[in-house]
Amino acid sequence: MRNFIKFYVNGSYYQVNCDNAFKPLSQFLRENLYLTGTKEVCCEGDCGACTVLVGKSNGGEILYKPLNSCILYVYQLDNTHILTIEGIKYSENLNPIQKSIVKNNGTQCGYCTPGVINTLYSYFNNLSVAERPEEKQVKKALTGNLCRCTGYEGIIRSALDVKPCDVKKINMLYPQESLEKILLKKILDEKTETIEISNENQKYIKPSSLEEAINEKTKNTQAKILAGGTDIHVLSNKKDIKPEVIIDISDLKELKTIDIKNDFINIGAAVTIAESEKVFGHYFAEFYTLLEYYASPQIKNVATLVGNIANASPVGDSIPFLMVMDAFVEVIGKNGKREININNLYKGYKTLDLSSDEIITGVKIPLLKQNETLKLYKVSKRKHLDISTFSAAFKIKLENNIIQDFSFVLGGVAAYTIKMKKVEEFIKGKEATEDVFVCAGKIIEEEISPLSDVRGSKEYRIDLAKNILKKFYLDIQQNYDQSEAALTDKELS
Amino acid sequence: MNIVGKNIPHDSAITHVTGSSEFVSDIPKLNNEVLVDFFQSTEAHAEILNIDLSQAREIEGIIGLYTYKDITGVNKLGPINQDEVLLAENKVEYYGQPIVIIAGETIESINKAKKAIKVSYKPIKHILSIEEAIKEESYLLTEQVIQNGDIEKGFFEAENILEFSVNIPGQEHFYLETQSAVVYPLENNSYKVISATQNPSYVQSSIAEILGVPYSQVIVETKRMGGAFGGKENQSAHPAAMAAIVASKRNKAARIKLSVDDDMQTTGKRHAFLNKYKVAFSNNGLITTLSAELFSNGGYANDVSTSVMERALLNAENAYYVPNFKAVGKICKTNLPPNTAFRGFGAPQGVLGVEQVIENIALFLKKDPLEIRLLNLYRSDKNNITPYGQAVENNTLGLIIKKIAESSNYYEKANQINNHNKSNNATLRGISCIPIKYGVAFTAKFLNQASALVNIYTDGSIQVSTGATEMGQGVNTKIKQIVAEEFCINPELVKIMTTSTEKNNNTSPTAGSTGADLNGSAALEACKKIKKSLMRFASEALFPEKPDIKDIVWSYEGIWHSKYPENIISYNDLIKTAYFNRISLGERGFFITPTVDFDKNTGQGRAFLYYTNGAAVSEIEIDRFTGDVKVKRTDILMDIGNSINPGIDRGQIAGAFVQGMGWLTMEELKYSDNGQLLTHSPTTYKIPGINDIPEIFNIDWIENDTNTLNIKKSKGIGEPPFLFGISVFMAIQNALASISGEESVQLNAPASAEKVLSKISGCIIIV
Repeated sequence: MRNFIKFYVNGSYYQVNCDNAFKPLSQFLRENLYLTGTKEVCCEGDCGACTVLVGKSNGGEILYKPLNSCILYVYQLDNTHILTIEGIKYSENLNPIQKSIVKNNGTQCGYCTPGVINTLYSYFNNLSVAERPEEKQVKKALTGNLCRCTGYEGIIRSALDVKPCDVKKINMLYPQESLEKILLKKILDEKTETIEISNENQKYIKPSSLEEAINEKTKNTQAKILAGGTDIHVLSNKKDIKPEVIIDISDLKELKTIDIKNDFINIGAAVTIAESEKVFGHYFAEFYTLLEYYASPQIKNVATLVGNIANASPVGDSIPFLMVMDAFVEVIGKNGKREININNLYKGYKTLDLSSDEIITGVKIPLLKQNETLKLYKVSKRKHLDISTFSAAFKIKLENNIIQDFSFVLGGVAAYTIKMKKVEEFIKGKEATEDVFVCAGKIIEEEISPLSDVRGSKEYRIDLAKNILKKFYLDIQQNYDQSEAALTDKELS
Repeated sequence: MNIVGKNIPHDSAITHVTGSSEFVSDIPKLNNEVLVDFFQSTEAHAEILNIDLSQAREIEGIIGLYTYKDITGVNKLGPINQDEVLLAENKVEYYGQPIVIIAGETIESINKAKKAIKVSYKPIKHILSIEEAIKEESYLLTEQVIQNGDIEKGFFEAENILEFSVNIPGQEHFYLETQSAVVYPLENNSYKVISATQNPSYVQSSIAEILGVPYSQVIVETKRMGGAFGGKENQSAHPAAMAAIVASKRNKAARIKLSVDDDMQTTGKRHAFLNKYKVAFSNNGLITTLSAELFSNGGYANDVSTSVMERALLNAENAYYVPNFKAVGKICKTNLPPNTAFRGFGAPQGVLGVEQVIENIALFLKKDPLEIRLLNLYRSDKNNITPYGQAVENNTLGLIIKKIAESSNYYEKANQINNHNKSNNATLRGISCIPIKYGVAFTAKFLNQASALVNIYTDGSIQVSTGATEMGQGVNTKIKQIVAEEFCINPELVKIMTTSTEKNNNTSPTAGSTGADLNGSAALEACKKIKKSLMRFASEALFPEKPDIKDIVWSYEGIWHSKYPENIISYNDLIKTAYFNRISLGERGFFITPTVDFDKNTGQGRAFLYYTNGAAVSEIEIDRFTGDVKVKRTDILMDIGNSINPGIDRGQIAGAFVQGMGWLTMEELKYSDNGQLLTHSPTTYKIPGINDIPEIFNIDWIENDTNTLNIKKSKGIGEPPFLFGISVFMAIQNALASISGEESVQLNAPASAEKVLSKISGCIIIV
């Protein structure tokens, strides 16, 4: 067992324990390492000013991803290489992205700039030399970086002016040999170690096996399970809510799996949204498209699908999808394994039907069957990088324009995501016509009683619920044939 | 080989991209430094019955708790009226108002203290909205009026009259660097303050008065800000003063940096307005008479609300000639933080209102709004006198609209959109063209002054200090170009120094798009003085027989006497020789803006030095089922005179437009019933992200070198393009108009999907 975290920052090795391990990385960088290029603004993962690159070993190669360092805590950093704005210059010269930002007025006040450059570095790091940067992709990459000065125009021009062949891959900038000791040798050759770190108020446990995790959870029933931490750490930063015990499952091999078996996609609890994007691209193009609006890359790179399920927000973006698909949530506790249909999981606002010793280990999603179509909708104040005001999921089975089966779920209209059973019953068996969906809209009013909050009024949510049925009807009329065509690999890249 | 007009990179670009630019919170901490924060009111309006600090005092790491009673000078501040308190005395007047300053060794100890401080209140009825304030007749200061012609006669003779109100929202600045300052106590009760402020002189005077020391004992420095947009024009003084109190009490360095949430909840914003209009117009849409009553939500104290209102009134006709005009402005006193300067400074509220007037006239007459705009536009030959008596000189508005209507294909698009909306049941499209005329200068005449200090060192390198503060807008880069060009040297030899009240005294805030105009001109004055003595020296050295500075040629190649070009001397050699001959190599320049002379009492006079003009065309698409709005394309065409730095000006245009678009489409301030801001972080307050900007975004400007009144014939650019956001807002209404029939499509901004959808639902049943 180890009682410290070991990692690299810009090529230098650090071991950290006690209080420092319980700090947000942004704070550790600024206060302990005096690397003040990383800016702290919102401290809730919503502005990207603190974006750093986090390198982790993946089959011998280190992959770097942009992450928000304000909601990434030091204890999550074991066996990583952190790159900050101070670490991505080319020895004494500016790198091509920096040069282009200087030349094309991609910076004004400079406060968002380090985060923007780190995100762009990651974008170019993943481009092959033959590719050219594309505006759409640049925008997608920078979804999580807010800028209040430039209107983004200069940033986009800067990015498009960079030649990928001029950008050194990070692994060339930091030859892996220099990090070998920790990052490669230890990870690849040695058995995973259990880590346990404590300070005055908190205890962090990183078990080395699922079995150990279950034992710890049984011992500490109040313990919080941590995978990405994108919710837990916002609460810690903003509301000073700090779990006494944290069990980190993010590196458990047993939970890092994605596979397809017997017409089910199985996604482990430690699989990040970004890691699961590809499989959804192949089997659920509709959900893959939704993932574009789901969150910023910085969040998707660390947040997990199971985390979204466990957080149980009434506006959780994946939940309507999983509910119409009748996905199963896999759970392990001291009494063994069980599977729960996600439609039976939620019992109230942020309340799950789990016992205190149980851990969600994964989710099992049935594939679409013949003649089944899936449609997903998300409505938010800002299209990208926003929490939903309202969400909807439909699964329909049409044969000769007769609705053989119909599954319909709404988010944002109740304390938790709910299935519209009355509407489902009304629609099933009918012919798919405008009238049916307009009439269904009238039933919906009886079935939901949304609240008014900062994101939208009750009336708005009721309007949306009615309209989404009409929109769905229109969409299936237009797109029924191609809606579930799998995306090609190129589209997914 | 001019330097002015060249696209040299932003002065701080290299340090920005390497993360080495130093902001206040990046300055290394001293060992004895303490953190400063404050305890806030949880009532919007209440008497304070008791403040109990006993438990908080016991907390380990707390080293000071201060109420208004601990203030040694005055507990007063405010840029115009000194009607604010730094710390609440016997009552609180807004939710979030500071009551107790907390000084601690760590954030943890401060957070504990915040929970341990107990304040008991006796609530008083509070007012949050303009409507409530009007009902209660709760106003700050007196009303302001601008008028011209005879409105009574105008309405009497009118062919058509419309009357309506326009609700205009506030806006959070959302600078990424929150309010911050660090104060170092110096010997003899003196202080050095590093503040993220647009207004170092105001921070200096505020702190001096609060501490009860002469202004000369407080130095305020500003290296740069991580965005400001007006939000750091005055309200940066409060946190700096809190840190100064701690520094003076404990004789330790004291630092404050607000969290985003506290910053948003406790500082002022763009003023919300309620504008009431009565407009008379002919059957073809010519406006003959406009009567406007503008109410702004001032918050609990003035801040600069009177000046903001003044500018709203001065822009209340935007680009349109109105022969009979009366605009009255009243500032509502409410229980909110004092609302403050924000890019555009009242002009957006005045302009949005009159553009809504145009839209409503167009809808009423069933005409294209652009036709109404063109009909009423200021002309060059006649109809070019504003209601406050200033002539619109060198008017480029007509030319700009003509050009942009062509380049954006406005008329054809409008036609296509019409057809689209008739045939498509999934989306609605809309288009709008908005012209702007934006006067540049401070309407408070005395603020139109600036000083600059230029020092040349013996190696020829130059330090320039001005009152301009750099918030990303590029003012330092422009000053650098002006100075380099004057001496015909490489701009790299010119270094723009940290703004300091020690170098430049009694400076005006960097605001009103005047930063480069004022400070660039002052720097040029200083350069000219040095250059004159250098030329005199050169003429004496090069032709001692009959020295005359008129004979000296100063160029990029060097300096020579026109009769002896072979005796050319380099700039560096001249400087060195001048030093050994005891010639002064440093001067102070002082500048006052010519011609401006606006009389606040009569509401007449030359309010502005010149106008920055432009027009924007935006096209949008609405999802009929969700109300989601997408901006498909925006074209902007401006008259910015001779640009000092086109790259920087382009950045200002793009940034201001997107900020203006955010104001009217997605940024929503929501308050609880007791005046607490509920949208106080980026999770709930949405500013535009990279995916929200127009899919096609064209920015251009026309050639215009007629602006001889201003430095290098340039024009101020920081604020005017903010108003182009209105083109997106009006394009949304244009889309809604296509399905509305007789219904009004007037929206209350921001045009959130929710509001757009409610308009659609109110109009027709879809499918």
